[in-house]
Amino acid sequence: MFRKLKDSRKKEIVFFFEGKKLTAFDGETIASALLRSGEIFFRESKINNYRGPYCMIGICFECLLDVDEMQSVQSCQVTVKNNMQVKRHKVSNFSL
Amino acid sequence: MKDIFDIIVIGSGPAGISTSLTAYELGLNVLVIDEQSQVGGQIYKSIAENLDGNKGFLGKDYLKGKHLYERFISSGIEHWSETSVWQITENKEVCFKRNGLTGIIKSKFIVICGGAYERAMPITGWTLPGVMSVGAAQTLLKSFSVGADNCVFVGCGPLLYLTVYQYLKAGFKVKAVLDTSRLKQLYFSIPYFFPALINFNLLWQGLRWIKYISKHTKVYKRVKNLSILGKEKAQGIEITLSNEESLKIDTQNIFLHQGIIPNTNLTMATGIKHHWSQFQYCWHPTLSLTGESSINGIYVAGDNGAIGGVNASLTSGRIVALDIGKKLKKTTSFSKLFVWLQFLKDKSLQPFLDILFQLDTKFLVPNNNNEIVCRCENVNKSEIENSIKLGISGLNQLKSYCRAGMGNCQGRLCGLTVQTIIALRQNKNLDEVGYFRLRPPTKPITIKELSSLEEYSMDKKQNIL
Repeated sequence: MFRKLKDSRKKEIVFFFEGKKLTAFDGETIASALLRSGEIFFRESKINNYRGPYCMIGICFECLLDVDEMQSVQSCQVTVKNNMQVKRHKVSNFSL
Repeated sequence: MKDIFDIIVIGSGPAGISTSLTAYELGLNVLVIDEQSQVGGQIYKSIAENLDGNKGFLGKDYLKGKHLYERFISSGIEHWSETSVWQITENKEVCFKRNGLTGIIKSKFIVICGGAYERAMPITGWTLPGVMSVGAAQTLLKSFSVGADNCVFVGCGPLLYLTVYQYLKAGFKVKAVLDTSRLKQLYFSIPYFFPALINFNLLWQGLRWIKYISKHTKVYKRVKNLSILGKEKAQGIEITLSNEESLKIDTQNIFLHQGIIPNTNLTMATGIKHHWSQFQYCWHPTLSLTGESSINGIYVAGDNGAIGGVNASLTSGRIVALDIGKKLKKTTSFSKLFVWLQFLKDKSLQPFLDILFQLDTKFLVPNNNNEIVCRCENVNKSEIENSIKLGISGLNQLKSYCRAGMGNCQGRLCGLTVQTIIALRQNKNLDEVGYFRLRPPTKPITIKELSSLEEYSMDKKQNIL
């Protein structure tokens, strides 16, 4: 499991993943905050088959999540904001 | 459409910063567009936050970026962060998106400095959560001081050794390093060793990393077979060593790496000519000596042109900017001579590294037929082979048969694997097989974003930025 070394960044931000309350550091991306909390299932690729972040630089699209009103957000590229509602990106979530 | 800037530089890694600084010093009007929130690219990622130097474990070379960063920031060069470029036209118009809006802007010259990304390593089980690339591990460490204990590093190449070294220095526990580099490559690389000696300091540094790693963690060399274990997530890795001995290592964090390749999606979609490089096992944009592409006025600098490392990227950026300066009558040929000598020096190490860590196609084509090759569209190896049996003419027809390469990543992860499988099955050369025909937008944009497209001008600046 991922953990953070002590550094100057201390301010904590609260956000929610699938309704669960989690914390992130100021400036941290959603993907990093989730990995530190032990969450590794991000995007649903088929029913009941999950993927997690792979490249962390925005090329692989495996870390897709639904963030607030936005679907298919690259969570390795977006920083956590206060009270953000984050959900797994599910195949069945597609609404046209 | 009017040219608002002399040069638009895309990307603000070493090549982008050096191009823009040199051009700025020549008195040119420069705009830098970058996808990330801060300048620095992947190599100097989060340098702005690490200026206090309390991340000593990242090494001296990383902290060199501090000087570059400060020069760039104090210059006041126009810099748009968190802005993605999704199309470049032959008329040198750049289409970008930012904050849910899109815009288009024209320039006299365009310099693409898109950098590089890691070549995929589709071994059995590579799609399981918990398996990431080595670059991903390094990104987490640089950006947020985040790392995983009891992890296993797999593959070969300078970035792998550097990251393991940084991980250990930072105090994370590395369970094992599984080195896939081959002994025969060591012999093949001997002729390239002598020119590489010009960069003796870098060779010495690499040796120091390797020595430190073997002292502080278990290294398995000449690994022959790899397979990641686990059903829903990674639970371990099974390996076969060169003496046919096999063993299992329990771990939930596996980092894969087998070299980096130029980020050619934007250059290809722009319509620039490319050629296959067997040496680096990837596509390169075809460039003139000064970095100009097959389209007049569009240049490529840094690793986006060919993998050469940070120093070569810095110098190639200067060469490009001086050439553009010459065309705009702002420079003399004398200043160029010194830069060329520097460039030769910076480039002399790479051929040695290319051969020493040359890709083993065994780890580019999965040996398991059910293993996924195209992660986005869930296409496995046997589906690709079945499409080939139907008689395809190339990658683009294969795409319409089985959807490999049609997902969000636009073939960035499966492209080389699909190309190699076709070459093997149809008994063709890799350059003959070709690559996916890439088209804009090179980054996904929504219809809503597209409908907001507006020509950028100084008075409308507030609308877009």
